[in-house]
Amino acid sequence: MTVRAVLLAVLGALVALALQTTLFGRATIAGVAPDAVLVAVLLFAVRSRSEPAIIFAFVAGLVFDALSVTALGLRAGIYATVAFLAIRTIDRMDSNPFSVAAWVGLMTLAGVLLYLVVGTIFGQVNMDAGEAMRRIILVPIYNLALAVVLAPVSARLLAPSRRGFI
Amino acid sequence: MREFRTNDRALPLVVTLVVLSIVIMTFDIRSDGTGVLATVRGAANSLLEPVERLGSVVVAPLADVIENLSEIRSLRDENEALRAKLAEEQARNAANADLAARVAVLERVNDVRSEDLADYTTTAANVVGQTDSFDLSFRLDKGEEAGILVGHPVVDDFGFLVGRIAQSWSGGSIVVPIIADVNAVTVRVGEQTGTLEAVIGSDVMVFQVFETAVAVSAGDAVVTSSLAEAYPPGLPVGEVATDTQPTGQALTAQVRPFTEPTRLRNVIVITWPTDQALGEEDTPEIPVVPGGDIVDPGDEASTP
Repeated sequence: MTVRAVLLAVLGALVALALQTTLFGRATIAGVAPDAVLVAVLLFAVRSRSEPAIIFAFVAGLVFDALSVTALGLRAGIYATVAFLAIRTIDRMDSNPFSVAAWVGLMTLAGVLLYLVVGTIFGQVNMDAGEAMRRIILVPIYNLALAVVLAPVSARLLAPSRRGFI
Repeated sequence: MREFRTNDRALPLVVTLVVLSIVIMTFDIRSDGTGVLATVRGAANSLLEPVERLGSVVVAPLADVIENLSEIRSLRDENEALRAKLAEEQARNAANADLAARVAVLERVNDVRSEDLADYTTTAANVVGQTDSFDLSFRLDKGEEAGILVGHPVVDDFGFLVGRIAQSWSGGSIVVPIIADVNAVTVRVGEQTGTLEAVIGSDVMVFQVFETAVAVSAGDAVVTSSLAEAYPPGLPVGEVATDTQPTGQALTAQVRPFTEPTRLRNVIVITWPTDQALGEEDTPEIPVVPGGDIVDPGDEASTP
């Protein structure tokens, strides 16, 4: 990974955090918003495929925790775990934007499930089964849609010399 | 399909980070939103405030469009219902105006007066957005610099109770609405005082009276009680949803709050208690607890 790629990833995470707390904080569909920060983390993991992606995910999650009222460390741990799953599974995907988007959706599903399980254990999740199910279904779909748009952009920005999307 | 790759250092790294996150989480929960981690949280909020403010300005028109598109159908239905309710309220207002005039005369004669919102120091603030998809807490664009402190009550444009401040820093704050708060609110319905508690995943709250309860009727007004320490007395909270009879000496009734936190665009923060100002050493700390809720150790209506 080049310094340029890392700086771009940090910038991308900041933009995602700003979008998450502004645009997606207000504009929700069916009461649910995508997890833009997780999309940024996963798209970075696609191009990095190494330990920096896990550290990046941990830090991004920690900052996101600090900006919300959930316990510090909840998203940090979950994002780091999802990033680990991501770099272990990305090679099984085909190198096209739709395949990458579907994979982002799957990884998001893992993240949402982890959030609900760990969040419930630590008393951080305050919702009934219906609400939880709505998020389990909708957040991965929204992230998949975001990834279709963002995967080609991130591929071009983060590793322009590499061909394909993975 | 590509060859599956393994990475020797990734597993120990992720295990370390997960353990670290659990340690941080445990400390954060146990410190009840105070101490070093609260300072770190405040610092992060302050540092990213300019980014969020810029983002807010840039995406506000887009957010408005998406929001309006997604709400257009429900708004039409709601408009119809509101028109009908408006006519009803106008008739009731006319009757109330006469009563208010009589109350004012009686207060003057007896040298007492009831407090209203104008008696408090208030700060208007814009709602920036929700903190995340999993929580009803939302962010305001003003914080400590505007005198907004942890624990201050929050009402909407009409003076209806919304919730209270859970976190505040220079440049912003976070509000936990009453429908997502683990703490109950001490309220009054007619002549009886009881507790009003949130129900997880529901927009209806539960009003409970445990001694010498009497029946309540749909539409009965629910206001904060003078016994409530966290809120000024007399703030309208909601109305009883259905006619309810007491069971024995206890009463459990459903209450529909007047405000819907997800639709708020601006709110008013009340400086309460009235002598609480920024910089006072005895400013009470109200710790954040799981789920974005706050616990006030001194709250007489705290749920177990």
